[in-house]
Amino acid sequence: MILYVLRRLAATAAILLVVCAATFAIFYLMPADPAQGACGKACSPERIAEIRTTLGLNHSVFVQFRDYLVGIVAGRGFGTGAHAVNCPAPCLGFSFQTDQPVWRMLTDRLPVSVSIAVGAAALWLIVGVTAGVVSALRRGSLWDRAAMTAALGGVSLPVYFTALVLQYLLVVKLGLLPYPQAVPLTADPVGWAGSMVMPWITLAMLYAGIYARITRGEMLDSLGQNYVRTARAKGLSEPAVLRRHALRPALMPIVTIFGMDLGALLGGALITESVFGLPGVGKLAADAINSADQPVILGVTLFAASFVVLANVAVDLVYALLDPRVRAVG
Amino acid sequence: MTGTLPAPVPSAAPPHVGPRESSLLRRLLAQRSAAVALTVVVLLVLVALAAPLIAWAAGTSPTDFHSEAVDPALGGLPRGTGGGISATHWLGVEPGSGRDILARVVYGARVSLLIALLATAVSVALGTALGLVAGFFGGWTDTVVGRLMDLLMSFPALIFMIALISAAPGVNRQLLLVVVLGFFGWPYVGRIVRGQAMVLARGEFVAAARVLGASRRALLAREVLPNLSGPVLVVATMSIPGYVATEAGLSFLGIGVRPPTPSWGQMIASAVPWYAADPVYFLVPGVFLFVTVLAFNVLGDAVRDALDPRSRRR
Repeated sequence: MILYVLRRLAATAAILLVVCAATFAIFYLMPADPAQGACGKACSPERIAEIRTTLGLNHSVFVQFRDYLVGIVAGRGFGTGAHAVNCPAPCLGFSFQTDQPVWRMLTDRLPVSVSIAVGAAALWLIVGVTAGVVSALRRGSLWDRAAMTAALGGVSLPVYFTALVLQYLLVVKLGLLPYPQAVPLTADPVGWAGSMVMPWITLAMLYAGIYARITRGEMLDSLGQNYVRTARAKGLSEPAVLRRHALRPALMPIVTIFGMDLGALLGGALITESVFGLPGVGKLAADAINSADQPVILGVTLFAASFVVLANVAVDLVYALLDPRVRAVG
Repeated sequence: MTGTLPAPVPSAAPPHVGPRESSLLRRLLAQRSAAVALTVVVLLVLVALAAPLIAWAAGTSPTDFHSEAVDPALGGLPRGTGGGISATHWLGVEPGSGRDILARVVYGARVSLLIALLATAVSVALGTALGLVAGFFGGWTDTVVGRLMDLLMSFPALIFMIALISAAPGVNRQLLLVVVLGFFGWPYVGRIVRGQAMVLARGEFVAAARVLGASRRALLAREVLPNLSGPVLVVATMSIPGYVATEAGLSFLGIGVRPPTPSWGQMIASAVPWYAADPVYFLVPGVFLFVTVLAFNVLGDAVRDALDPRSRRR
């Protein structure tokens, strides 16, 4: 098991390195000039040349990439003399537009993204899996058809549209909720929940639909398996058959996509955060794109990619715990 | 990601089905929901094709400003009720500029469908070619392609697309969207094609053709490829709604289709500051987008059910 974990972690490090290189290459090969981006529109050629030196843009791409990697591990500084800035490890770059290390900007925003992701995930997991299981057990019933229609509708709703409709109905028309704004959980738990309800529902509508559809399909699959028939034949009670023999295998694929979805959301719910104006990592990415703040875009991409890749590892490890066959093959 | 990605993958690809178009169509039309979805899709395509005609019939164009339709005293809100719906502007006008929403929505359908269909074509072409080669030949080809697919699927695609698009300022956005969507979408096609090709490569008919002296190219083109049309059709249909939604999402974020070319996502984004005062402005493109994605989703399910005996059982 330990060997398996180590091997997975090594593979993860390799993937992260490739992601890092690919992201770096995109920004290096593309025509946009990072020095121009760091300095703004009204910028003299001399100042741009100076920034190029500060950022190390006069070096080859390999040297720049090496410096970037070293910065992540050991931190680095930019420039010398009065203009020098320090970027402590893990240094994912420095935003000259906001005068902050990218890492600090990311960690400042992370709690909001985590609040959104975890709350929404709990909501969609409960609603989606329950709806899927009930649908599978009552296949063809009115409930099944209604739930699956609703699920398909949820899957087809763009999050920003759901967000606007919810905000129009709940805030403008009915006045049930305040306009969303970031409230720290520790300062005001009720206000925090109030500000998070709409993002949670928005995301949960989409994901609960997906999960309900998958759960139903998997559940029907496992209910048709021989081992379920065997379990019934040997006289197990129906709830025990359903729980231990039908539901358990049906939930395995759910574990996979749940890990991936949660990982992706922890790295920032870009659209949801933008619509509701909540200052999470996703909003940071959207803002950085609008202001062409390249170090931040690069940093967010890597940050989010790490969450996705680490979620993959977590899923594999959970799988290995649940299913010994994976350990042997993996 | 925020869920607008082309990720819906059928739980299992049909083993070895060769669809005949006429029988597939008949089977689709036999299901009421599929028939409705197909009708909606056909209507949408017609609307997109006839966009100039519709705008002409409505007496406007997507870029005409109608300052008489908005009220400067109210900050540019459309005159009249319901977002300025009137005999001249059937779906109302944009606040501020007074551009006709109907004209913009039908032109938006063009952009939306064109990009989604072309992106599907790109991902299907890439995914089929690479998946076929990987699955049929196996060995190191399979390892390389397989690793590449794993890698691409573990990328946070939406953020990567954004990084790519925002780092390329001068490029034609619509073309770039097609390339980027197709590039991040092909592994989903490739994975299924690869699995099918692996099974088919071991089939007796392939062995028979090989014994008869068929070249490797002939084996691929005449024996394996035709048998993949079913699964490819399923995964292609199922990936269209994802592309529609992703294009709209990127345009919503301001890195998709550039103004003045109208796109649904972009329209919804520009409606955000007005949503409280003029809900019609975001409802119209939103409903169009929702109906389009829903229709393609229903159609995708129906095509899968029609071609995949395993899922029909459900």
